[in-house]
Amino acid sequence: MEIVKIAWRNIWRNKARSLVILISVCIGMVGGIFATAAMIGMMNQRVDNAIETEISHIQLHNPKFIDNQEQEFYIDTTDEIVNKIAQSEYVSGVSRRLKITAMISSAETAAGVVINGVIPSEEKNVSDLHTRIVEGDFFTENKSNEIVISQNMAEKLKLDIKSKLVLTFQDANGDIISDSYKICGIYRTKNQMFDEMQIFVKMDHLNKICGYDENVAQEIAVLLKNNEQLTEAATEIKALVGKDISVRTWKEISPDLGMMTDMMAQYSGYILFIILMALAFGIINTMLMAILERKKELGMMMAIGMNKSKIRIMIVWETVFLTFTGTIMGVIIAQVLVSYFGRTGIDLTMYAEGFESIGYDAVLYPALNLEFYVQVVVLTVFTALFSAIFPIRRAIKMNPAEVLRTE
Amino acid sequence: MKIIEIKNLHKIYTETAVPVKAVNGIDLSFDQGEFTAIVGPSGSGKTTFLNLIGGLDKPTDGEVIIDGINIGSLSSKQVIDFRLRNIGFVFQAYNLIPVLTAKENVEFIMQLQNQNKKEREERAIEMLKAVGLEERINNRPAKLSGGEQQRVAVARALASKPKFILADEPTANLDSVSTSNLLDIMQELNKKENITFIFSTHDQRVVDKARRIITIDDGKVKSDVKI
Repeated sequence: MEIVKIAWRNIWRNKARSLVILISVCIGMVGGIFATAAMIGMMNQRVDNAIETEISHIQLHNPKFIDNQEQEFYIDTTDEIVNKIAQSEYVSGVSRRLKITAMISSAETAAGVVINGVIPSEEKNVSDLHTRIVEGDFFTENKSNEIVISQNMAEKLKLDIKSKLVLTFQDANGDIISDSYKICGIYRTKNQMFDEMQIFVKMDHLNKICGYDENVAQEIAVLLKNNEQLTEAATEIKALVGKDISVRTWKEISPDLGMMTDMMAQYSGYILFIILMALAFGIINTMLMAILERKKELGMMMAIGMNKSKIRIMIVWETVFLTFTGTIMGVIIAQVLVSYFGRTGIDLTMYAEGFESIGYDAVLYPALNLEFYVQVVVLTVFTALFSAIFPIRRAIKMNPAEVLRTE
Repeated sequence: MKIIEIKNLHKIYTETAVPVKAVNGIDLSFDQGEFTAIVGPSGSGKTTFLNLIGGLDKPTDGEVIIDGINIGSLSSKQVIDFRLRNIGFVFQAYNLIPVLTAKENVEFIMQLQNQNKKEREERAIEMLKAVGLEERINNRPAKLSGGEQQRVAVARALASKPKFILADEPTANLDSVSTSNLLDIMQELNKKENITFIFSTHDQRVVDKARRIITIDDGKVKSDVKI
């Protein structure tokens, strides 16, 4: 215990020097943690948006539909599957979708789109698109040929609520058909790419027009209660629906997102590691200076009987105190900043167009998880031990008789 | 009773361009309870001789036998432990750990010996009382005078219950009053507790108190006088 006390007091012998290194560590940690929190927050928002608005947690398809997104590759027992999946304790909502590639035309222009034929009541349980309606409604009870398009699309086609438009697509027999729709709602998500492609109509109407049975859908989307249970839920659903239906998680559907979230933890570790390694050299320098200044004192301690392992322990404690004090200060300040900006967000709306064109929010909410703090502790311990190596080597090489003799 | 026997002790420093024979064939022995001053001009080999007795340096040749143990035959780890349990040191300067109080400095050596806290505290206070510093036990070295610091160093050396105390020019940085006080305390401890003190010194006041005076020059014993 006495050695720990000596180590703690030793770091305060030269307050200015210790404070400089503590503040360096602190600033480095604040910068590293906050940058990581911003990246993780941005990634979490992207993933949340993708899951809640675009793809859900799990999707089921006819396996052939995945290779070749032709509407003829559908699932024809959707009632049975939806009922089975809805029983799962992991599942929050299930929605079937007819997915048909089409041409959308207004008087002004035309564009290629993907029609999502949905049952509005089911879709509301799976997607938050109904909350992203900026004008009109996410379908009404009155009419069957209603359509919901994005604000982006509406501007491109120069259309408004209640405007009529024409969709041209293939029916179940492969014949080209056209059908007219009236815009009942205009949505806007945070992903321009999604907005430019996805339009929504009522499934029963589309089924009828295309000549599909009411039990047919190209896609069944499943929203879970908790993303942490993704693997367990996917395993259970696979067992429920059998081998003839493809069951994919959002990480498989959108591997770029899956990869980015998986790598984010590693990236944050790398960033911290680089920052701490840079700081380690400052700590090494401070400790070497401290050891050289205390040469005679260390010589005296060795002379009276303090063995090398105790000298090592004392120096390790000094580096641990130097590193950890700065780290703790940095973590506290960073946590305050992350909490504050996690609530208020960082407004980057001046770059909104750029962010939204790649599917990211323009208001950034930094976020951190417990795993990250464990990484911080592990890396800080590593840095402290690494920083202690050189001062320890210098100290234990000393010959007490020699250092006590020199002036 | 002999506690230290020195046989044909040599120490040659080869790091310099011309090898320096700092200790050149010394044969001596010290009995329990001696109060010995080792004198000689600067560079005569006094400190080297003390370092060899204390196991701080390894002899080039010869033996230092303490209580029947040839310390040259011990590993460096064993020597450190041997020093901790058998030898008390008082240096000219840099004696104390600046971040510890007087009491903590005295306790420190007992902690290295793995003594329990209660025992350590009691003995530290007892030793500091013995050197007349009971009022200053919670002062750090920076708040103590040079003489007081040396008295704490003596208290620390005594606290470890050593077989003997080596003091390398302990009064070199002290004024006459502090020197006199320190010497009185050490002399009293020597007489009362039969503790063996071996000093290297230039200080005539130390020599005046010594009961044995060994003169070293050019690494050799020139005279060995018991008073």
